[in-house]
This record gives sequence, structure tokens and C-alpha cells, in this order.
Amino acid sequence: MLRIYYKQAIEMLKQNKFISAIAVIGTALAIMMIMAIIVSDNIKIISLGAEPNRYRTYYVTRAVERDTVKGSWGSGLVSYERYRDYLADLQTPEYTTVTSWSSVSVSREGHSETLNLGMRTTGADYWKIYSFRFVEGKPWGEEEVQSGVKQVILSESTAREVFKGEKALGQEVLLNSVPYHVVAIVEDVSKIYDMANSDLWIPYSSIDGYQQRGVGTLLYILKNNEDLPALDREIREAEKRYDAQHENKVLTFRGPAKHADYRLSEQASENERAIEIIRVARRKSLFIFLILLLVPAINLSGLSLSRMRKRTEEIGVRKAFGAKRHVILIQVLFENLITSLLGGVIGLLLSYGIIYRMKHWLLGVSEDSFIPFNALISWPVLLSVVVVCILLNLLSAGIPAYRASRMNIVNSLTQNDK
Amino acid sequence: MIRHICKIIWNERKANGWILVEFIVVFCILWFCCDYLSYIVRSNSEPVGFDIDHTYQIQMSRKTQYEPQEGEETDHNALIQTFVNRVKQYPGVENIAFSNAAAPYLGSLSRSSMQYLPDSIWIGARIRYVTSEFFDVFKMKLESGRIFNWEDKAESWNVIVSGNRNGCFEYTDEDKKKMELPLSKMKAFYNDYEKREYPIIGVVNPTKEGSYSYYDPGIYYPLSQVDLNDEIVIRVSPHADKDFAERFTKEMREQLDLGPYFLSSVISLQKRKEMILNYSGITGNLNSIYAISSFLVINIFLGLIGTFWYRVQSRRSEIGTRISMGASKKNVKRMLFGETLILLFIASFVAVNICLNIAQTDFLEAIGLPESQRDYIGAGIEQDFINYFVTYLFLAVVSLFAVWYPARQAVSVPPAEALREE
Repeated sequence: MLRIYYKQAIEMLKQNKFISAIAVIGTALAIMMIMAIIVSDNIKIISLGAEPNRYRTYYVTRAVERDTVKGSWGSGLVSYERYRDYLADLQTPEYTTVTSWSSVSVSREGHSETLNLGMRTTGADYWKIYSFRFVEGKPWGEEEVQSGVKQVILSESTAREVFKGEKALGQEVLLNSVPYHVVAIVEDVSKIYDMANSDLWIPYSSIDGYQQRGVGTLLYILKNNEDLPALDREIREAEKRYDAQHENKVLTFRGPAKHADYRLSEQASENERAIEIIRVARRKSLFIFLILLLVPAINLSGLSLSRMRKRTEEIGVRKAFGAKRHVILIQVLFENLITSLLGGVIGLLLSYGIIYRMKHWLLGVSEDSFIPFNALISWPVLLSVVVVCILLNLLSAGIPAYRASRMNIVNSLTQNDK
Repeated sequence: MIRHICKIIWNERKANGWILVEFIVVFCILWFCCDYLSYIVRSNSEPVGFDIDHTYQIQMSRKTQYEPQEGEETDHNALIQTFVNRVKQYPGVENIAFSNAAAPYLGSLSRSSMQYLPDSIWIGARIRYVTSEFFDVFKMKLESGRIFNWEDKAESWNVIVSGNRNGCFEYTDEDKKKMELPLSKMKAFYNDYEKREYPIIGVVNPTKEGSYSYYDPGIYYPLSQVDLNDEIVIRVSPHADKDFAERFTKEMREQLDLGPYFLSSVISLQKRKEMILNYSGITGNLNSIYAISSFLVINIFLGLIGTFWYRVQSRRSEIGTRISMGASKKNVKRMLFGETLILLFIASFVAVNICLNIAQTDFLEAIGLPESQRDYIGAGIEQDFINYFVTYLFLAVVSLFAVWYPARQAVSVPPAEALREE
């Protein structure tokens, strides 16, 4: 049965090439826009490659301290002391670590050339939760972090740039004029992995005076996501412990936020405001999806209705020979689905083109950064193409199909549908 | 003619309904896109107040480990003097200024309230600490009075001010109403905390925080104690501007290794501006608006072309009759165009009402869509008319393009053939 529908649908498409082309282009355009958003959002949150644990990573980004007497408040990165005293030894997470990013000037003793590069400070467990490919050497452990040794891990391209083909491992580099020992080389990490990507990495404790500074973003990796309430409870208890020890102070840690939300929540000054910001962002994407679906749907509905009118005779004959309403309904929907799927495939391919050309805008990474292939094509992406196609199909062909199925046999045979 | 067309539209209401709904939705969205874009265009056309062409920021950093070597200069003022001399001697450097929370696009700002005695009101303003060269580096215009001189730095408490769009300071009165106070009327501020008067010695042109911000009244204090941690900005002569940052960094790195400080970077303020623009989300907003607008326009185009194609096909006999009764091809085309424009007009009427009502609410804010800031650009009700005409014209052009092809098809059929089809 479906084969006949399929054949008929293809025939229909061929019969009026002009209108078919318009319908397919309209669908492809809608799917292209929607998929460009879905795919780029998916790249931002997918657990893959260098960051395989995003789905169970929770972030604490800032600490906000309010003075209840003066009424003033200060916000900033979580300081090392607060991290050590209140947040480093929570029971719930499987791993706890910290990282921060800054730029640094890199040079070598006896060479005049200086490079400005990105530098990440890390704790010891950082190397367990992110998956790096080590070309040579190995990362630091807890002991090295405790002792504050000046060690640095370089990415392959950094090593090439700084050492110009010499062997980098075991050599010394100057980071802001302080000598560091190269202990390992890792393969470059794509910029879509915002927490793993960097040009070089050092232990956070290797910076002088780190005890007085912000330690960066805290990362908690849970064994499974059901532990989140427990983690939240522990962090809130830590806040209470702090308030009890510091008179007239109320401390709030921003988090735990999941990967999809932590950047948004960073902007807010209070936890409630962070929730609101995330809510607004959700509403915004919902609204945009609605527009991207509805406008083409209205468009295509008009087209299908006109097309149906041309086929009233055929539908009348089929009904006269006993075709049930739902059969007509399904047939029309199915025919339309062929168009939608055709448009869907074209749209998906176009959306990859768009993401590739506009990665700075859509992904927030620089134009020269590469995107791993498997981040683009994944099961959620393919599934969502199908879902969007079906949705668009129902929206655009639903009313015409319903109307076609309800047509009066006599009227449709005499073409009196008005 | 118009009555006739209206009748046709009514008779074809089933198919027209879809077009009408689509027109309304698209008109509404394009209206808000137009609103936002005109805010961008209008605020872009107004000067920021700082000329940042050929200006650079020099960033010095402190070494983490530093012990003075023997015979090295440790006197602070001498160090600053050496720094200024060396930078000024570099070919192409025209001027150098130090400032605090003052230079545009560097991301640091400070606001405060000052008391104005005669009326004893509190005036909020942007506070900047600058050396007198600051005004030259950014080519600011002195509107009245004078710039700081050497004595201002040392002793007096003189300040320079700049106003808002209307050359005024702003304050809120007891009823929380926004009031304005013309700069020309003012002689001095009074600081209650320090019990001291701050005479106003000069007025410079109004400035904005960035292109898309509002004219914020400002107070400039002389920067008395200069430090290498301050904002350091230089103006470079235009012919020396090419690759200046790289050249300067490379050639001056050793010369500017001064005591505990080293040269960490040289960035053009244009680049700083781009960075701030990216961060502010305006670039992203504009990209989204262009993307959504083109998407909608293409959709309207496709929808109209498809619908009119069918319509013209099913009305071939009607069109044949018209032509055989003496209507010229031009007339028939004009009728189809008229139909489109009247449809669009009906839709625009409904859409404007929706838009004006939405603009009254917090709807855009609630769903996080970019909003135009009318008070930033001093726009009033005329903006609504601009939006209406721009949107209508734009959609009309696109629609006529879309109807043109089916209309040509319709009139190209010989009337005899069209009539025989019946």
C-alpha cells in the first residue's frame, strides 16, 4: 500500500515540477534553519571527544558574598581558600577539580620571540575527567599539585610553534617570564570543547600567590545524575557553614549548573536571576522554533490546499469505490511526508554548510577551528531531523488532509467543492 | 477598480486566508526587525564622542618575581618618565595619555553621585580620571572653558564635564521623575563626604559607552598619580599605523622592560571595540535578524508565487474572458498586482495593531528577543511610521516580484485557448 502511495507521490511531484520545487525548497529552508540551531546547540552540549563526561559534569562558577550590615556585595571567581575550605572535599561527586583560562606570554630563555597564548590552570583530577591523547609524557597528579611544581603541558601545535621542530619534552619555557618544565605533549583539542581546549596547561598551584587568587571554575563529576540533589544539598550546607563562621556575611555559590546552562548562569548576580536568565533563553528558542515551523507551515498549507482542490475528482472517485476517511487522510499525509523528507535531507546538508561557514556566530569558536565529524552527525541529530520533518508535515498538511478526507462524494465528483 | 478587486479577494477568501495569515505574521516580525535595525543604524550614525582611529592601548604587567638589580632605577616617577620618553620617541607616536576607568572599550567604568549645591540635588554621572593628553589622544572637542593644566594635577580640585544628548546632567527629583540640568548653568560640584568644592573649568563633547549606548553625562578628574597599571593609550600618526602593534611590540619589548614591569601587549582600540561588540551580543543579534528576515522574505516569496500560480491556473478562463472582452494584458497584470497590494494592506492594518500592542508589553523582554532602545537614540513616535512604511514597502516589492511570474504566465495564454478549457 505504502509503495503505491510512494509511487503516486513521486508522480505528483513530477507532474507539476514548478510547485513541487517550491514546496521542496520551502521545506528545505525551514529544516535548514531549524537543524542549524539544533546541530550547533547539540555540539555545545554533546558528551564526546575530549569532553566525554559533559552529561554528568556540574559547574560552580562564582561566589557572591553579601554583607548584611553594610548592604554591599561582591562577586567573583571562587577563591582558593573558599575552594579548599568549603568545596574541595564534598562527598557526592566522583571527581572534583578546578580550571581557569587566561592568556599568557610565552618565550624561551635566550630567544627574543614572544607568543601570546591561551593558558589553562588545572587540578589533578582534570586529567581524569577529560580525555586527552598524550603524545609524550604524562600529566601531574595530586602530589605535584600539592607541592606547586612549575610544570607545563603543551599542545602539539604550541610545542611546534615555540620549539620550532626541536624536541620539547623536558625543556624549559618562560610563562610571563617564569620558567616552567615541559612534562607532556598532547594532541590539539578542538575549540568546541570549551573546558578542555587550550594551548598549554599548568597546575593552578604553580602560580605564585595562588592562595590569594580566584581558583577558577569548579567541576564536579557525579557518578550518575541522580546524585544532583545531594550535591546541591552539600553546596548549600557549605554556604551555611561559611555564614556561621563569618559574622554578617551571606555567601552564595553560583551552581551547581549543568553544562548546557553554566555559561548563561555566569552572567547573573544571584541564583534566582540565573534561573530567570535560563528560562528566558528557553522561551526565546521555543519562540524561534515556533516561527521557523509556523511560517513555512502556513505557506505549505496554502499550497497543499490548492493542490487538493485540483484533485477533488480523484478523491471523489476513490471514496465512491469505498476508501475510508482515514485512508484518504493517511494517503495525503504520506504523500506530503515524501516532500518533507526530501526537503529534510536537503535542509540538513545545507545546515552543515551554514554551521561550517558561520561557526564563529553559531558556536562561538574562531573561524579557523576544526569541528570533529562525529560531533556533526550523531543519533540525536538524525532523530531530530525526522521529528522536525514529521512535525512540519503534520502542521503543513494536517488541515488540507483533514479537509480532503471530509469531502462530500457527490460534490467532489461534480467539482462543487466551494 | 479597487472595489472590484476587493470583491475578487472576498470570493477567493479560502486561499487568500492563508496568504493573509502569513502576511500578518511576517509583517509583525519584520516590523520588530525594522525597529531594531533602525535603532542600530541611528545610534551608529551618531558619534561616540571618542575618535579611536589610530589609537592603541599599551598594557604593562608586573613580574611575579622581581628583585631590583643593582644600580637599577627604583624611583617611581623616574620610571614613569623613562617609559613616557621611550614610547614618545618611537616613530609615529603622536601622543600618550594615562587614564583610569576612562578610555572607551577597555571594559572598566565607574559611576558616582555628586552634589550640586544651589538646588542640593544629587547628580549621577560617569566618573573618569585622565591626564590632559587624554582629550588630544581621542580628539575630543572642547565646547567651552579649558583643559587641565599642570596646576590642576597638583593642587586644585577642578573638573571637566560632558553632558547628555541635550547638553544636560540628569537627576531624579523627589517624585522619582527624570529631570535635566543644563551644564551651562553650573559652576561647581560639592562633595559632602570630603566637604570640598569641585569647580567646573571646561565642557567637552558628550560621549557614549559604545555606538549602541546612550549619551552618558560624565565628570573628568585630573589623574594626579600616574602608574603603569593605568590605562595607557597612544595616538599614532595615520601613515605609521600599518602593522603598528606588531612592530611596536617587537622593537620595544626590551626597551620597555622597566623595573618590575614588562610590556605585555599592544592592542588597537578598534580591535577592542570589536571584542566588546562580540561580547555584548549585538553582532549575534544582527546576524540573527538578517537570518530570520531573509528566511521570512524567502518564505513569503515562495508562498505568494505558489498560491498565485494555482490561482492564475484556476482562473484562466476568467482571465481569457477579460482579455477577449477587451482588457489589455497590462490591465490584467495590474489587477493581479492590485490584489496582492490590497491583501498586504489589509494584513498590515491588522499587524500594526498587534505590533503596537506588543511594544507596550514586556513580551520581547520576556522571551529574550533583541529590543530597540528608543530613549538611547531619542526616538519618538515617528519611529512607528518609519517602521510601517519600510516594512510595507519591503514586503510590497518582494510580493510584486513573486506575483510577476504567475501573472506573466496568465496573460501569455491566448484567450481562445483559455476559454475553450471550460
